[in-house]
Amino acid sequence: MVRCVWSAKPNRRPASRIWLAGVAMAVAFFCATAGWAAKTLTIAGSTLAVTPSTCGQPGPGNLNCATNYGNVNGLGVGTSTPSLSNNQPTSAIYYAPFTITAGGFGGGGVTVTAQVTSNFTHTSLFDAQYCIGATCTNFSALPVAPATAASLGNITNGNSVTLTLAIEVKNVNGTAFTGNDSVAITITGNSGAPSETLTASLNDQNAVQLVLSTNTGLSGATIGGTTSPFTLNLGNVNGLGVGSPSVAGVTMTKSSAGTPSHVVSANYSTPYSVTASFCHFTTTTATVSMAVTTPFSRNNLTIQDSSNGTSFSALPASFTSGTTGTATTRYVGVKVTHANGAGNTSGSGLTATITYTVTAGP
Amino acid sequence: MKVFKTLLLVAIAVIVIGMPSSSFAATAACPAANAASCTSTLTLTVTVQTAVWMQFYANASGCAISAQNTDLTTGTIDLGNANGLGVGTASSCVTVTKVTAAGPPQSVTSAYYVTPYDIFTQVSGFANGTATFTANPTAFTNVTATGALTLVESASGAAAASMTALPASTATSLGLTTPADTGAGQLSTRQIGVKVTHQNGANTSSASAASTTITYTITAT
Repeated sequence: MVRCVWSAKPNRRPASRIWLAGVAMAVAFFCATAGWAAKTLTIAGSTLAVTPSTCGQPGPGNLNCATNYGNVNGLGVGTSTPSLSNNQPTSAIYYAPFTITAGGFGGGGVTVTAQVTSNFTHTSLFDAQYCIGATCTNFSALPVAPATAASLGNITNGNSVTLTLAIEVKNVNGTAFTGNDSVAITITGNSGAPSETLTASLNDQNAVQLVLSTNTGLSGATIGGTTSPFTLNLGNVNGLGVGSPSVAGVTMTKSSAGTPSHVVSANYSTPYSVTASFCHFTTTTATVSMAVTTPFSRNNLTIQDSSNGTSFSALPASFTSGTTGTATTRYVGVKVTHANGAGNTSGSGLTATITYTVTAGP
Repeated sequence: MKVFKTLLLVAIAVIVIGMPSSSFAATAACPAANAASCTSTLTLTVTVQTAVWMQFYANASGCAISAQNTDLTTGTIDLGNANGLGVGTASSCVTVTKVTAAGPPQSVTSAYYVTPYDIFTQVSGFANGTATFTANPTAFTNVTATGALTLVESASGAAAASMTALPASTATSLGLTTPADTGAGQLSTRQIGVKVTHQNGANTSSASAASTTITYTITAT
């Protein structure tokens, strides 16, 4: 029986090129006439290119192939060529399909397995996952050698299986890293098929995000929007604290002084949640600073912040966030000072803008 | 005869106006990749309303007012016993002034029982911050004979001549405009009382208290 594989015999005496060419032609002719062809597992990508494009085809030098996932980050922000499954606050999963085509295996086909044979350098930040199919999104961890390789099933001769290869980028901190890393995945067929190694590389980047949301646990007023700009309407307010707040979740507190006691101001506030996300920094918390960037058009309106809903102070202010993806409860309030005259008059739908800056790292 | 007075308050308004603008040093907008910092914004909206508040306080030399210094809607003041001749011992917080006819003999035509009281007002969100007032009393109970009992009010002094009658079921201006409220409220001392006319007949006196409820309306500008 002749195994139609290409091999080199380095210890033999050098043969003449003419002789070798003659032998090769004879073997090829014999295999072709006998119905035997070279056994191949060809790997190709539709979303991400595989290099060389002849990956897995017969011939020397193409058993080690590569693909590039490009820029990735643990928050899944920004654009990417591979598809993205954002699994926040845990990780971002970048995935792309690859077809593995069997050739030269005869009627029985070939059973194919895959495993990680050279893992990422930063295994606390990245791991490789997979699923079978072009549109699958339910990924399983790809075994890391020497663990038993994952079966990709049987491929009949001339057909293919689609392996969707996913790289999970974890939303974690404590290890500062940006830059290149890679994982080598070896795809092996039985029946004497060659092993193909696909090296998937990536360029990891830091990422930051800040989201404001309604604090449902404390029955806060509704924060509008899922991404910036966010909105909050505190409803009707007045400088004497007369009447009840018009918006659910808003609390009014008056400050009084003097004899007879007079109202100095009324503060209308609500709890809300601030979630800072950031990844691949050394520090596990971030600094969130708040500043009024567009004030109200009234002199007697002051935007205030509080960590506890009791002790308020005018912005600017800052606080230290929790770990990435953890919501922090803050209180935002508008203090209406008891005042009259120009710049202190009533007005409908007055707006102001608070800018939140999240700074992570190093 | 005992006289009770009940004091009430109220009023409110709303006005509208415009908006602002400003700037901020730019960092990358959230979310941001390949960055250590980013910014998100919160647009905060409120509707600022005008507000008015009025409260009655006992003057240092006047009669007590119940429930003062609270957000009451109704307080009371008791002027004690009163009669049309101004005789006997009145409450210590009341000044009694008799009005007599030209004589001789000088007959008493009526007696005024008056006490000072304070109106404390707070207004916010107005262009000027000043306030004016009207008072609208109900008819007295029990002493219902025409002219027997009249509610009177004045800006200062207990002299009969300075008192203004407040007819029942009529909103009468107190002739008071407060200075602008600059944030600490405005305290106005006034006089309030009853004029008891020297007369007889049915419903000119009563065994139990005669009372009236006065509705004060404050209007700020």
